[in-house]
Amino acid sequence: MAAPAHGGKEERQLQTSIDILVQRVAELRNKIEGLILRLEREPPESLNWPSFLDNFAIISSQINTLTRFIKNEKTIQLKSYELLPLSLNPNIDENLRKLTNGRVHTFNHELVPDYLRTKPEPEVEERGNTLTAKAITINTDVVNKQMASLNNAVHKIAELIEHERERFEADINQRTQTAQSYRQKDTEELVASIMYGKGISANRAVSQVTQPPQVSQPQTMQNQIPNPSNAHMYQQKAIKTNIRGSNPYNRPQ
Amino acid sequence: MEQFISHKSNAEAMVKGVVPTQEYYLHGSILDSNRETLLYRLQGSCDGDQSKFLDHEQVFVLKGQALNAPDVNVSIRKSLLPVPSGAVRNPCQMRYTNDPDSDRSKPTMVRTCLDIAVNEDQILQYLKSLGFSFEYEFVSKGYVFRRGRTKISVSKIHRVLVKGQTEKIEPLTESNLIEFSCTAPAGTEHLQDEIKAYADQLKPHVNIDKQDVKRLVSTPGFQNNPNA
Amino acid sequence: MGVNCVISVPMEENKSGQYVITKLQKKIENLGAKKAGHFSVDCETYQSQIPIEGQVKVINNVHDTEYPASTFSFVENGPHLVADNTLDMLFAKMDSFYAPKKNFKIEAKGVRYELNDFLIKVGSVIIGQNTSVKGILLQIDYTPCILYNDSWGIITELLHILGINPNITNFFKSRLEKKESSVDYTDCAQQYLELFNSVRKSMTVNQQPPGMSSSPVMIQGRM
Repeated sequence: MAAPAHGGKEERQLQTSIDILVQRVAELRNKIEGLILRLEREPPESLNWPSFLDNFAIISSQINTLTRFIKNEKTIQLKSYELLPLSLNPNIDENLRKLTNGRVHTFNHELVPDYLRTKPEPEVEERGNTLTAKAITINTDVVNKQMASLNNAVHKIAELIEHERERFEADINQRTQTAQSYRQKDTEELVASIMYGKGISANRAVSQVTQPPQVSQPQTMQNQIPNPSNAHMYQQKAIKTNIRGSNPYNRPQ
Repeated sequence: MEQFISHKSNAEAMVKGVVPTQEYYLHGSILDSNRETLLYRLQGSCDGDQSKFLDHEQVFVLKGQALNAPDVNVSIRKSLLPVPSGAVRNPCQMRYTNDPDSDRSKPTMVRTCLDIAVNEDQILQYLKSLGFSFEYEFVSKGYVFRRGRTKISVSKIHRVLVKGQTEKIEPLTESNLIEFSCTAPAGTEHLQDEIKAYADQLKPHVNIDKQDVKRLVSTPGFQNNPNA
Repeated sequence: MGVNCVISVPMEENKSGQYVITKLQKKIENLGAKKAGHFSVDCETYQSQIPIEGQVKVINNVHDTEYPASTFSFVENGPHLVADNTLDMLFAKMDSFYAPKKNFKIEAKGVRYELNDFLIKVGSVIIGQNTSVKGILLQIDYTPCILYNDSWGIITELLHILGINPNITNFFKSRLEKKESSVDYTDCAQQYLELFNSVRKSMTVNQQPPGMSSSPVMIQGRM
């Protein structure tokens, strides 16, 4: 590989640019390798979409920075450098293999045209040329007309999409504003009712008035109401039993 | 004393075994007008079919004031649905629950619970003779779904107008109560995340979350606080 | 589930409980009965720490290996309940209100025999941590029948063959007195409870030091 000598400054610049490029590409490669490894090695159920998409986002942003770096004015214009293969060798080149992590074994006649290509293949290039030639021969008026009608069509589609978007957004707004499907207040009320009897243990008071304390009446629930005089007695007994608080059965575990 | 210890360790062994004693749960509600949509969504994402239920629940408490001990709450829940001919009615369920754990860092509410199937004919007299007193009752009517280990119920809570008469009822609110609940043996805290993740999937249609309602019932008489 | 009858087998003077049991088991085996595992019926007694409805409540929770997932709970002179055995854990939760009575756990355990339609269980009664035999209980189930009156004849006959005086419990008597009285799941536990109570009573009446066996006083009216 050869680089024209353009004085020390430019050479250093080229060197740093290439260093940075190599480093960036290595980072990118690591990321991609990591992702492939995960896909192959980890059980499918442990992979989830969000983290997968995150990985993609990182890779694409790295590609972006790489492209931006190449296009940057301060970066040396690689376009203006030539790369000239000086010798081709059909034998396996250990050094090259190491450099490319085992992907390229030899630097031979078969590989070089693919790796160092800067132009499309001759057939492709030929087809391109015919197309360009054809384009030149077309009448300018016809071209303008066609362009106008294409622009027109694109415009209409863009308008349609814009319109749909407005409608869609309005719809979302409307839904969030008016159609509330639940009330937090109701939730709290219901939970308080089933867990603590809020608002429903009122009928307890009612039945206490209407039902006289009963001795026993199997199969009905009325005798579950605490008898007020009984409750009083319960309280008095409490004083007595508190003294027994030290008995072993009373100890909290 | 030995007897007492052996009794204790017995109970502990049961706790350590397969008896589910922890309940993880979340609550939410849905307005009547939007209930169908939610039911469709649940049916699509839950295992198997929904089933209808109509339950009568009565709550009893054993007041611990006199002994300076915390109250013991149990509820008796039985189905009011007619039993298909030839089938035997399932026993009614007695359930003990303690006050929920108010740890804010946990994804769901947690409380200790015990589910005990009991025969129906004498349970009320039995509780009464043990010193339990009736607190309140309600009728819940709705649908129950199952998703993995989680039980999801969407039900309308009704007030019972005349005590013990379950045919005279009126709805409490215009909303239906949604309950996500999972009972499991102790040491299964990871299940909480599972429940929470599914509950979050139903947002923003409904908000199923931890509901700390204790502040709503601070009125004396509803809940007595043993300051032991 | 068929009709079951639990009776107390009297001890013999100057003979250990184990001797009487072995003798009885021999007789049963001679009839051609096959051993079919072991059984145990136990009863834990809880007492309320404060009076409820004006009296100290006593609750007996009976467990039977024949119904391993259930607890039969009897409030003394009150209602009873058939429940999942998680009921025991509820009692643990209520330990400030109900404490188990010290050294009061009573258990009958022994060998289970099958003899055609009969299920025969011979159990030795022990109390608390003490392993000496306090009494011997014999349970005979006549499985094909659920009517007390209809199966009593054949049970008496079997008892007669075994050379045991059919000294039945008050509970069983009350069932026989009713016409067409059929079996309930709690019946077996009720009979055990009645017999357990009389064994406990004989212990306190005789004030025997633990270790010495005595013949239990025959059925004192309870329940």
